[in-house]
Amino acid sequence: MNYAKPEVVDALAAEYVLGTLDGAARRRFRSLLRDRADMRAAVTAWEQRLSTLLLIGEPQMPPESTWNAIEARIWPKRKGLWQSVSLWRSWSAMATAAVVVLALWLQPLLNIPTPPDHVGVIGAGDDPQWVVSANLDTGALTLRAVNVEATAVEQAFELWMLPQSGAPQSMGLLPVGGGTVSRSLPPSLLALLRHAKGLAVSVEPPGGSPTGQPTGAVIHTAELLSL
Amino acid sequence: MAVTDAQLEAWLARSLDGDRGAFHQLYDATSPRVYAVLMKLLAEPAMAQDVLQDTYVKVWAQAEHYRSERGLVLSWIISIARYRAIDLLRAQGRRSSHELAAGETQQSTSGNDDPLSDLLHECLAKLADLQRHTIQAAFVHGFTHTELAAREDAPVGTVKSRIRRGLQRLRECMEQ
Repeated sequence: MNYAKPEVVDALAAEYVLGTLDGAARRRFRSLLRDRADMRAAVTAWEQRLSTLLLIGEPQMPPESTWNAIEARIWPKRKGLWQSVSLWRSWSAMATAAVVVLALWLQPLLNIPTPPDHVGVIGAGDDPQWVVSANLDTGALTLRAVNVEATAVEQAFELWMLPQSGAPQSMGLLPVGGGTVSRSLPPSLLALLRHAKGLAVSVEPPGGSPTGQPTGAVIHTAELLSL
Repeated sequence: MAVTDAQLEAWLARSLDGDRGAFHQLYDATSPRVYAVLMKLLAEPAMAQDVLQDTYVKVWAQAEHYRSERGLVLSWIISIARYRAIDLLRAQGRRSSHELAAGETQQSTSGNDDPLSDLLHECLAKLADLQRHTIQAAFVHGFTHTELAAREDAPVGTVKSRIRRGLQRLRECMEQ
């Protein structure tokens, strides 16, 4: 395909905005967008042409919990003093794993909420940085920073799931500074996670990847282990 | 009371300065529209809420990248949400026959103060019915060529050329 021809660029931009540009063609077009001002201009023009089609119909009020979750992600609660003690941090990953196992054992006895059934430890062997725990039946996901300081405000760490096939799927931004984030995975992601090849972490701009795919360096990969 | 785009821009600008109240007002004013778009695309409330969450975290972090010459604030936020939702749909694969049957396109009528809106609806009205319905179904409900072909009981190639010609005519009409 000759990407130098304006009519080709316009046709691709139109189908990209429409959503019908699919698979490898969509990924290729998106990667070219970063360096091609003419492609970005064509995309913007089509977005402007079509955008009001999306304003047809009645608005729908999202549940209050969505705003609460957004607040928690943008303005996480400040960490306590104890969390900054390095001794606690180094023990944290092991403690989390122990709690997970204990919860699994006690769950039928105490009737406590379903514990995680999968866990992933991200980081080098003797330097765990995050613990990911998930219950693939309920979709409950918890991301815990165990040894990651807040870094420059210009960057964030994004967690990706690597499906059996197809592009990585974002599982959201990872907390730093001892923080914990809990969220509920949608069924679509859960279905992919059951057969995923693993997890990865990339460095992204604040707020996460602007393209929906990893754009920065992939600094870690990890397995999600069944308990 | 309808909120103007100038007000949304002002809230977005104050959000850039770290004003949580302004960001909450921006969310309250825009999220029902964005959520409606996501529900049409994804049909699944949990998934739509998840994408809504990602969208506003991104809006907060990337407020400085908004440029008014590229469109209205609401359109910018909807674009962020829509691309994320389409990525999820594509990763999820083929949709159920129930979902394919859903998503009847609504009558296209202009109903806001965007000057491009009247022109778009006027030009859409000039397309053949099938061309118009196919383009609307793809854009509003995120259907792929294959899904559209199944919905319309037509070969994929026919759907592709119907879309290509329809978009071409739409652009010509809107540039006149």
